[in-house]
Amino acid sequence: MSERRSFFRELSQEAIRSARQALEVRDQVQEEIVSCLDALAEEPSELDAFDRDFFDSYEMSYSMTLAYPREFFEQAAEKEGIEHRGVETLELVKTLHQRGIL
Amino acid sequence: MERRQFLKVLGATGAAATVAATAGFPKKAFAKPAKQDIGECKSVKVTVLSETSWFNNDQFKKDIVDNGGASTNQYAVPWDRNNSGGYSALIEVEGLDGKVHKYLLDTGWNNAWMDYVFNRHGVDKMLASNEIEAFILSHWHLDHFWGIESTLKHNDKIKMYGPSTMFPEDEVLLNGGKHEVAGCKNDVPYKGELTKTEPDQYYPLTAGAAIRMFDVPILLRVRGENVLYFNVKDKGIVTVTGCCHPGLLTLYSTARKEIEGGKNIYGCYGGLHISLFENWDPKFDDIIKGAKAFNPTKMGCNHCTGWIWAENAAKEGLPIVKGTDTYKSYPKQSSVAKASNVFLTNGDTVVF
Repeated sequence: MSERRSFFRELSQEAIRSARQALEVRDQVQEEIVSCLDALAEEPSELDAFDRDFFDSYEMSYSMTLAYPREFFEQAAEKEGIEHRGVETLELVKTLHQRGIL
Repeated sequence: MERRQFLKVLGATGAAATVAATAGFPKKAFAKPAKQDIGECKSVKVTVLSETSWFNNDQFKKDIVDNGGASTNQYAVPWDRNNSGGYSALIEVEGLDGKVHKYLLDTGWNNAWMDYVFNRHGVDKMLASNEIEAFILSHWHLDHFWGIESTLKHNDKIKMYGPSTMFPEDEVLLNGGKHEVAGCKNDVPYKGELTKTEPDQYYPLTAGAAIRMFDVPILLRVRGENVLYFNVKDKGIVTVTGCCHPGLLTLYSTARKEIEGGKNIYGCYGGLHISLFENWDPKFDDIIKGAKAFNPTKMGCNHCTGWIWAENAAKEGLPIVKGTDTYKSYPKQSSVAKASNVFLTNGDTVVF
Protein backbone atom coordinates (compact mmCIF):
# COMPACT_ATOMS: atom_id res chain seq x y z
CA MET A 1 0.00 0.00 0.00
CA SER A 2 2.75 2.40 0.99
CA GLU A 3 4.78 1.45 -2.11
CA ARG A 4 1.80 2.31 -4.27
CA ARG A 5 1.41 5.71 -2.58
CA SER A 6 5.09 6.41 -3.08
CA PHE A 7 4.79 5.50 -6.76
CA PHE A 8 1.98 8.01 -7.29
CA ARG A 9 3.75 10.72 -5.30
CA GLU A 10 6.88 10.35 -7.41
CA LEU A 11 4.78 10.26 -10.55
CA SER A 12 3.07 13.52 -9.71
CA GLN A 13 6.36 15.20 -8.72
CA GLU A 14 7.97 14.15 -11.99
CA ALA A 15 4.96 15.43 -13.91
CA ILE A 16 5.20 18.79 -12.19
CA ARG A 17 8.94 19.07 -12.93
CA SER A 18 8.41 18.18 -16.57
CA ALA A 19 5.51 20.57 -16.90
CA ARG A 20 7.61 23.36 -15.45
CA GLN A 21 10.43 22.67 -17.89
CA ALA A 22 8.03 22.53 -20.80
CA LEU A 23 6.47 25.83 -19.79
CA GLU A 24 9.89 27.44 -19.62
CA VAL A 25 10.67 26.25 -23.14
CA ARG A 26 7.29 27.49 -24.29
CA ASP A 27 7.99 30.91 -22.74
CA GLN A 28 11.34 31.14 -24.52
CA VAL A 29 9.83 30.16 -27.86
CA GLN A 30 6.99 32.60 -27.35
CA GLU A 31 9.41 35.41 -26.47
CA GLU A 32 11.39 34.76 -29.64
CA ILE A 33 8.24 34.78 -31.78
CA VAL A 34 6.92 37.95 -30.18
CA SER A 35 10.24 39.76 -30.60
CA CYS A 36 10.38 38.76 -34.27
CA LEU A 37 6.83 39.97 -34.78
CA ASP A 38 7.60 43.21 -32.95
CA ALA A 39 10.62 43.77 -35.15
CA LEU A 40 8.53 43.14 -38.26
CA ALA A 41 5.74 45.39 -37.04
CA GLU A 42 8.08 48.27 -36.20
CA GLU A 43 7.78 51.19 -38.58
CA PRO A 44 10.83 51.48 -40.80
CA SER A 45 12.78 54.63 -40.07
CA GLU A 46 15.09 56.68 -42.22
CA LEU A 47 17.55 56.23 -39.38
CA ASP A 48 17.77 52.50 -40.14
CA ALA A 49 20.05 53.54 -43.00
CA PHE A 50 22.76 54.17 -40.42
CA ASP A 51 22.60 50.65 -39.00
CA ARG A 52 25.36 49.36 -41.26
CA ASP A 53 28.90 48.01 -41.16
CA PHE A 54 31.92 50.26 -40.91
CA PHE A 55 33.16 49.88 -44.49
CA ASP A 56 29.72 49.93 -46.10
CA SER A 57 29.93 53.63 -46.92
CA TYR A 58 31.81 56.86 -46.32
CA GLU A 59 29.14 57.91 -43.83
CA MET A 60 29.99 54.90 -41.68
CA SER A 61 33.76 54.99 -42.15
CA TYR A 62 34.45 58.71 -42.44
CA SER A 63 36.61 58.68 -39.30
CA MET A 64 39.13 56.66 -41.32
CA THR A 65 38.38 57.20 -44.98
CA LEU A 66 37.76 60.95 -45.00
CA ALA A 67 39.42 62.26 -41.86
CA TYR A 68 42.99 61.59 -42.97
CA PRO A 69 44.87 62.72 -46.05
CA ARG A 70 44.78 60.02 -48.73
CA GLU A 71 48.57 60.05 -48.87
CA PHE A 72 48.66 58.31 -45.44
CA PHE A 73 46.95 55.29 -47.00
CA GLU A 74 48.90 55.44 -50.25
CA GLN A 75 52.11 55.29 -48.23
CA ALA A 76 50.86 52.25 -46.34
CA ALA A 77 49.76 50.58 -49.59
CA GLU A 78 53.09 51.22 -51.28
CA LYS A 79 54.98 49.68 -48.37
CA GLU A 80 52.93 46.51 -48.87
CA GLY A 81 53.03 46.54 -52.68
CA ILE A 82 49.32 47.24 -53.01
CA GLU A 83 48.21 49.18 -56.09
CA HIS A 84 46.37 52.33 -55.07
CA ARG A 85 46.18 54.35 -58.29
CA GLY A 86 42.60 54.69 -59.44
CA VAL A 87 41.31 52.92 -56.33
CA GLU A 88 38.54 54.64 -54.36
CA THR A 89 39.74 55.65 -50.88
CA LEU A 90 36.98 53.58 -49.27
CA GLU A 91 38.13 50.48 -51.14
CA LEU A 92 41.79 51.19 -50.47
CA VAL A 93 41.30 51.57 -46.71
CA LYS A 94 39.05 48.52 -46.64
CA THR A 95 41.75 46.47 -48.39
CA LEU A 96 44.41 47.70 -45.97
CA HIS A 97 42.19 46.75 -43.08
CA GLN A 98 41.28 43.34 -44.48
CA ARG A 99 44.96 42.53 -44.97
CA GLY A 100 45.70 43.44 -41.37
CA ILE A 101 47.84 46.44 -42.33
CA LEU A 102 45.60 48.90 -40.47
CA MET B 1 11.61 0.22 -18.89
CA GLU B 2 12.84 1.08 -15.41
CA ARG B 3 10.42 2.66 -13.01
CA ARG B 4 12.22 6.03 -12.96
CA GLN B 5 12.30 6.24 -16.74
CA PHE B 6 8.66 5.24 -16.97
CA LEU B 7 7.75 8.05 -14.55
CA LYS B 8 9.67 10.55 -16.65
CA VAL B 9 7.89 9.57 -19.83
CA LEU B 10 4.53 9.60 -18.15
CA GLY B 11 5.20 12.98 -16.53
CA ALA B 12 6.38 14.54 -19.78
CA THR B 13 3.29 13.34 -21.57
CA GLY B 14 1.06 14.94 -18.96
CA ALA B 15 3.03 18.17 -19.09
CA ALA B 16 2.87 18.30 -22.86
CA ALA B 17 -0.87 17.98 -22.66
CA THR B 18 -0.98 20.83 -20.16
CA VAL B 19 1.18 23.08 -22.37
CA ALA B 20 -0.89 22.26 -25.42
CA ALA B 21 -4.00 23.26 -23.56
CA THR B 22 -2.65 26.64 -22.44
CA ALA B 23 -0.27 27.67 -25.20
CA GLY B 24 -2.78 29.95 -26.85
CA PHE B 25 -3.27 32.02 -23.71
CA PRO B 26 -0.07 33.71 -22.64
CA LYS B 27 -0.17 34.73 -19.02
CA LYS B 28 2.02 37.77 -19.37
CA ALA B 29 2.89 40.37 -21.92
CA PHE B 30 6.20 39.48 -23.52
CA ALA B 31 8.73 42.20 -23.99
CA LYS B 32 10.96 42.71 -27.04
CA PRO B 33 14.50 41.38 -26.78
CA ALA B 34 16.11 42.96 -23.80
CA LYS B 35 17.76 46.29 -24.56
CA GLN B 36 20.45 47.60 -22.29
CA ASP B 37 18.80 49.41 -19.43
CA ILE B 38 21.55 51.75 -18.25
CA GLY B 39 19.19 53.61 -15.93
CA GLU B 40 18.81 57.36 -15.75
CA CYS B 41 20.78 60.24 -14.32
CA LYS B 42 19.77 63.81 -13.63
CA SER B 43 22.55 65.56 -15.53
CA VAL B 44 26.01 65.22 -16.99
CA LYS B 45 28.58 67.98 -16.79
CA VAL B 46 31.76 67.83 -18.87
CA THR B 47 34.75 70.04 -18.19
CA VAL B 48 37.23 70.33 -21.02
CA LEU B 49 40.53 69.83 -19.23
CA SER B 50 42.43 69.76 -22.50
CA GLU B 51 41.33 69.15 -26.06
CA THR B 52 44.56 70.33 -27.66
CA SER B 53 46.26 67.00 -28.25
CA TRP B 54 48.83 68.77 -30.37
CA PHE B 55 49.21 72.44 -31.14
CA ASN B 56 50.33 72.40 -34.73
CA ASN B 57 48.42 70.25 -37.21
CA ASP B 58 51.06 70.52 -39.93
CA GLN B 59 53.80 69.23 -37.64
CA PHE B 60 51.64 66.33 -36.45
CA LYS B 61 50.85 65.38 -40.03
CA LYS B 62 54.53 65.67 -41.00
CA ASP B 63 55.56 63.33 -38.19
CA ILE B 64 53.20 60.68 -39.57
CA VAL B 65 54.16 61.12 -43.22
CA ASP B 66 57.90 61.16 -42.43
CA ASN B 67 57.58 57.88 -40.59
CA GLY B 68 55.57 55.72 -42.93
CA GLY B 69 51.97 56.89 -42.97
CA ALA B 70 48.81 55.20 -41.78
CA SER B 71 50.18 51.83 -40.78
CA THR B 72 53.06 53.13 -38.70
CA ASN B 73 53.34 51.98 -35.10
CA GLN B 74 52.84 55.07 -32.92
CA TYR B 75 55.69 53.93 -30.65
CA ALA B 76 58.13 53.96 -33.59
CA VAL B 77 57.65 57.65 -34.42
CA PRO B 78 60.05 60.27 -33.00
CA TRP B 79 57.27 62.77 -32.38
CA ASP B 80 58.05 66.45 -32.05
CA ARG B 81 57.91 66.73 -28.28
CA ASN B 82 57.22 70.46 -28.32
CA ASN B 83 54.03 69.79 -30.25
CA SER B 84 52.40 67.44 -27.75
CA GLY B 85 49.55 68.41 -25.42
CA GLY B 86 46.77 65.96 -24.68
CA TYR B 87 43.10 65.15 -24.51
CA SER B 88 41.28 64.77 -21.21
CA ALA B 89 37.89 65.59 -19.73
CA LEU B 90 36.34 65.59 -16.28
CA ILE B 91 32.86 64.10 -16.23
CA GLU B 92 30.42 64.71 -13.39
CA VAL B 93 27.27 62.62 -13.39
CA GLU B 94 24.51 63.77 -11.07
CA GLY B 95 22.27 60.91 -10.02
CA LEU B 96 18.53 61.21 -9.48
CA ASP B 97 19.33 61.20 -5.75
CA GLY B 98 21.50 64.29 -6.17
CA LYS B 99 24.77 62.46 -5.58
CA VAL B 100 27.56 63.44 -7.99
CA HIS B 101 29.90 60.81 -9.45
CA LYS B 102 33.17 61.98 -11.03
CA TYR B 103 35.11 60.24 -13.79
CA LEU B 104 38.26 61.09 -15.70
CA LEU B 105 38.16 60.46 -19.44
CA ASP B 106 41.65 60.06 -20.91
CA THR B 107 44.91 61.38 -19.55
CA GLY B 108 46.54 63.30 -22.40
CA TRP B 109 50.00 62.97 -23.92
CA ASN B 110 52.68 65.37 -22.63
CA ASN B 111 53.20 64.93 -18.88
CA ALA B 112 54.25 68.54 -18.23
CA TRP B 113 51.14 69.80 -20.04
CA MET B 114 48.84 67.35 -18.26
CA ASP B 115 50.37 68.16 -14.86
CA TYR B 116 49.59 71.83 -15.52
CA VAL B 117 46.05 71.03 -16.67
CA PHE B 118 45.26 68.71 -13.76
CA ASN B 119 46.62 71.23 -11.28
CA ARG B 120 44.68 74.10 -12.86
CA HIS B 121 41.39 72.20 -12.50
CA GLY B 122 42.10 70.54 -9.15
CA VAL B 123 42.01 67.11 -10.79
CA ASP B 124 45.25 66.19 -9.03
CA LYS B 125 43.57 66.63 -5.65
CA MET B 126 40.40 64.86 -6.81
CA LEU B 127 42.51 61.88 -7.86
CA ALA B 128 44.47 61.80 -4.62
CA SER B 129 41.33 61.91 -2.50
CA ASN B 130 39.57 59.19 -4.54
CA GLU B 131 36.93 61.74 -5.44
CA ILE B 132 37.29 60.56 -9.03
CA GLU B 133 35.76 57.09 -9.07
CA ALA B 134 37.33 55.73 -12.24
CA PHE B 135 39.64 56.53 -15.09
CA ILE B 136 38.19 55.66 -18.48
CA LEU B 137 40.57 55.40 -21.37
CA SER B 138 38.79 55.91 -24.67
CA HIS B 139 41.55 54.30 -26.74
CA TRP B 140 45.26 53.66 -26.71
CA HIS B 141 46.36 56.55 -28.93
CA LEU B 142 49.32 58.62 -27.78
CA ASP B 143 47.39 61.83 -27.14
CA HIS B 144 44.86 60.07 -24.88
CA PHE B 145 47.08 57.60 -23.03
CA TRP B 146 50.75 58.54 -22.96
CA GLY B 147 50.21 61.10 -20.19
CA ILE B 148 49.25 58.24 -17.88
CA GLU B 149 51.93 59.19 -15.34
CA SER B 150 50.12 62.48 -14.70
CA THR B 151 47.14 60.49 -13.42
CA LEU B 152 48.93 57.65 -11.65
CA LYS B 153 51.27 59.96 -9.69
CA HIS B 154 48.17 61.06 -7.76
CA ASN B 155 46.41 57.71 -7.59
CA ASP B 156 48.14 54.57 -8.85
CA LYS B 157 45.25 52.33 -7.79
CA ILE B 158 42.40 54.15 -9.51
CA LYS B 159 39.90 51.84 -11.17
CA MET B 160 40.55 51.90 -14.91
CA TYR B 161 38.67 50.88 -18.04
CA GLY B 162 40.61 50.42 -21.26
CA PRO B 163 39.85 48.64 -24.53
CA SER B 164 40.94 44.98 -24.50
CA THR B 165 42.60 45.62 -27.86
CA MET B 166 45.76 46.96 -26.20
CA PHE B 167 49.23 46.09 -27.49
CA PRO B 168 52.30 44.99 -25.48
CA GLU B 169 53.83 48.47 -25.77
CA ASP B 170 50.74 49.94 -24.09
CA GLU B 171 51.11 47.43 -21.29
CA VAL B 172 54.77 48.36 -20.84
CA LEU B 173 53.93 52.03 -20.46
CA LEU B 174 51.03 51.35 -18.10
CA ASN B 175 53.23 49.17 -15.92
CA GLY B 176 55.91 51.79 -15.48
CA GLY B 177 58.04 51.61 -18.62
CA LYS B 178 59.21 53.94 -21.34
CA HIS B 179 59.59 54.14 -25.13
CA GLU B 180 62.58 56.25 -25.98
CA VAL B 181 62.06 56.76 -29.72
CA ALA B 182 58.52 57.97 -29.19
CA GLY B 183 59.53 59.96 -26.15
CA CYS B 184 57.04 58.68 -23.61
CA LYS B 185 57.55 57.32 -20.13
CA ASN B 186 55.71 56.44 -16.98
CA ASP B 187 57.57 56.23 -13.67
CA VAL B 188 54.50 55.16 -11.70
CA PRO B 189 53.43 51.56 -12.39
CA TYR B 190 49.70 51.00 -12.33
CA LYS B 191 48.59 48.96 -9.33
CA GLY B 192 44.83 49.14 -9.67
CA GLU B 193 42.12 47.08 -11.29
CA LEU B 194 42.05 47.37 -15.07
CA THR B 195 38.82 46.32 -16.74
CA LYS B 196 39.65 45.40 -20.31
CA THR B 197 36.49 46.26 -22.16
CA GLU B 198 35.35 43.78 -24.79
CA PRO B 199 33.71 44.70 -28.09
CA ASP B 200 29.98 45.38 -28.07
CA GLN B 201 29.74 44.94 -24.29
CA TYR B 202 28.29 47.45 -21.84
CA TYR B 203 30.00 48.33 -18.57
CA PRO B 204 27.77 50.27 -16.17
CA LEU B 205 29.42 53.06 -14.19
CA THR B 206 26.50 54.45 -12.23
CA ALA B 207 22.77 54.85 -12.90
CA GLY B 208 22.42 56.43 -16.31
CA ALA B 209 26.03 55.92 -17.36
CA ALA B 210 27.77 53.07 -19.15
CA ILE B 211 30.78 52.35 -21.33
CA ARG B 212 30.47 50.49 -24.62
CA MET B 213 33.48 49.36 -26.62
CA PHE B 214 33.48 49.49 -30.42
CA ASP B 215 36.13 47.38 -32.12
CA VAL B 216 36.92 49.66 -35.05
CA PRO B 217 40.13 50.16 -37.03
CA ILE B 218 42.18 53.21 -36.06
CA LEU B 219 45.38 54.65 -37.44
CA LEU B 220 48.93 54.17 -36.11
CA ARG B 221 48.27 50.53 -35.14
CA VAL B 222 45.54 51.18 -32.60
CA ARG B 223 42.17 49.43 -32.50
CA GLY B 224 38.94 49.86 -30.59
CA GLU B 225 37.39 52.77 -28.71
CA ASN B 226 35.40 53.03 -25.51
CA VAL B 227 32.38 55.32 -25.79
CA LEU B 228 30.44 56.70 -22.83
CA TYR B 229 26.67 56.59 -23.05
CA PHE B 230 24.50 58.61 -20.66
CA ASN B 231 20.74 58.53 -20.33
CA VAL B 232 19.67 61.89 -18.93
CA LYS B 233 16.17 61.90 -17.47
CA ASP B 234 13.64 63.85 -19.55
CA LYS B 235 16.35 64.66 -22.11
CA GLY B 236 17.73 61.51 -23.67
CA ILE B 237 20.95 59.88 -24.74
CA VAL B 238 24.25 61.73 -24.62
CA THR B 239 27.48 60.29 -25.99
CA VAL B 240 30.88 61.34 -24.70
CA THR B 241 33.89 60.35 -26.76
CA GLY B 242 37.61 60.72 -26.97
CA CYS B 243 37.84 60.65 -30.74
CA CYS B 244 34.61 58.98 -31.90
CA HIS B 245 36.48 56.64 -34.24
CA PRO B 246 33.37 54.44 -34.62
CA GLY B 247 31.58 57.44 -36.16
CA LEU B 248 28.84 59.62 -34.67
CA LEU B 249 26.08 58.12 -36.81
CA THR B 250 27.09 54.63 -35.69
CA LEU B 251 27.03 55.76 -32.06
CA TYR B 252 23.54 57.20 -32.37
CA SER B 253 22.31 54.25 -34.40
CA THR B 254 23.69 51.84 -31.80
CA ALA B 255 21.89 53.72 -29.03
CA ARG B 256 18.58 53.42 -30.91
CA LYS B 257 19.09 49.72 -31.42
CA GLU B 258 20.59 48.64 -28.13
CA ILE B 259 19.76 51.04 -25.30
CA GLU B 260 16.46 51.42 -23.48
CA GLY B 261 15.23 54.90 -24.39
CA GLY B 262 17.94 55.13 -27.04
CA LYS B 263 15.63 56.48 -29.71
CA ASN B 264 15.72 59.83 -28.02
CA ILE B 265 19.10 61.31 -28.88
CA TYR B 266 19.94 64.42 -26.87
CA GLY B 267 23.51 65.22 -27.74
CA CYS B 268 27.21 64.54 -27.69
CA TYR B 269 30.51 65.79 -26.38
CA GLY B 270 34.02 65.15 -27.61
CA GLY B 271 36.17 64.70 -30.62
CA LEU B 272 34.13 63.58 -33.63
CA HIS B 273 37.07 62.73 -35.88
CA ILE B 274 35.82 64.33 -39.08
CA SER B 275 38.04 67.00 -40.62
CA LEU B 276 40.91 66.89 -38.16
CA PHE B 277 43.41 68.28 -40.66
CA GLU B 278 40.96 71.03 -41.58
CA ASN B 279 40.38 69.58 -45.03
CA TRP B 280 36.95 69.68 -46.64
CA ASP B 281 35.32 66.91 -48.61
CA PRO B 282 31.77 67.34 -49.98
CA LYS B 283 30.94 64.01 -48.35
CA PHE B 284 31.22 65.77 -44.98
CA ASP B 285 27.89 67.37 -45.81
CA ASP B 286 26.39 63.88 -45.56
CA ILE B 287 27.65 63.60 -41.99
CA ILE B 288 25.90 66.87 -41.20
CA LYS B 289 22.68 65.62 -42.81
CA GLY B 290 23.03 62.29 -41.03
CA ALA B 291 23.51 63.95 -37.65
CA LYS B 292 20.50 66.20 -38.28
CA ALA B 293 18.34 63.15 -38.95
CA PHE B 294 18.82 62.11 -35.30
CA ASN B 295 17.59 65.53 -34.19
CA PRO B 296 20.08 66.19 -31.39
CA THR B 297 19.56 69.12 -29.02
CA LYS B 298 23.09 69.91 -27.91
CA MET B 299 26.39 69.07 -29.57
CA GLY B 300 29.67 69.92 -27.91
CA CYS B 301 32.65 69.12 -30.08
CA ASN B 302 36.38 69.75 -30.22
CA HIS B 303 39.76 68.06 -30.71
CA CYS B 304 39.68 65.95 -33.90
CA THR B 305 36.28 67.22 -35.09
CA GLY B 306 37.79 69.91 -37.27
CA TRP B 307 36.88 73.57 -36.90
CA ILE B 308 35.79 73.67 -40.52
CA TRP B 309 33.25 70.87 -40.02
CA ALA B 310 31.93 72.40 -36.79
CA GLU B 311 31.51 75.78 -38.48
CA ASN B 312 29.66 74.27 -41.42
CA ALA B 313 27.54 72.10 -39.13
CA ALA B 314 26.53 75.17 -37.12
CA LYS B 315 25.69 77.04 -40.33
CA GLU B 316 23.51 74.11 -41.44
CA GLY B 317 21.55 74.24 -38.19
CA LEU B 318 23.15 71.58 -36.00
CA PRO B 319 23.04 72.72 -32.34
CA ILE B 320 26.77 73.22 -31.89
CA VAL B 321 27.52 74.58 -28.42
CA LYS B 322 29.86 77.53 -28.60
CA GLY B 323 32.94 77.77 -26.42
CA THR B 324 34.54 80.74 -24.74
CA ASP B 325 37.94 82.43 -24.89
CA THR B 326 39.09 80.72 -21.69
CA TYR B 327 41.57 78.67 -23.73
CA LYS B 328 43.56 81.82 -24.37
CA SER B 329 44.60 81.83 -20.71
CA TYR B 330 46.34 78.47 -21.16
CA PRO B 331 50.09 78.62 -21.86
CA LYS B 332 49.66 77.26 -25.43
CA GLN B 333 46.88 77.33 -27.98
CA SER B 334 46.02 75.36 -31.09
CA SER B 335 47.18 76.94 -34.33
CA VAL B 336 43.76 76.29 -35.89
CA ALA B 337 41.58 77.89 -33.17
CA LYS B 338 39.21 80.46 -34.64
CA ALA B 339 37.11 83.34 -33.42
CA SER B 340 33.96 81.45 -34.36
CA ASN B 341 34.31 79.50 -31.07
CA VAL B 342 32.53 76.46 -32.48
CA PHE B 343 34.75 74.27 -30.33
CA LEU B 344 34.37 73.75 -26.62
CA THR B 345 37.98 74.49 -25.88
CA ASN B 346 40.30 74.18 -22.90
CA GLY B 347 38.59 75.26 -19.70
CA ASP B 348 35.05 75.27 -21.13
CA THR B 349 32.18 73.28 -19.66
CA VAL B 350 28.94 71.89 -21.00
CA VAL B 351 25.98 70.48 -19.09
CA PHE B 352 23.51 67.97 -20.50
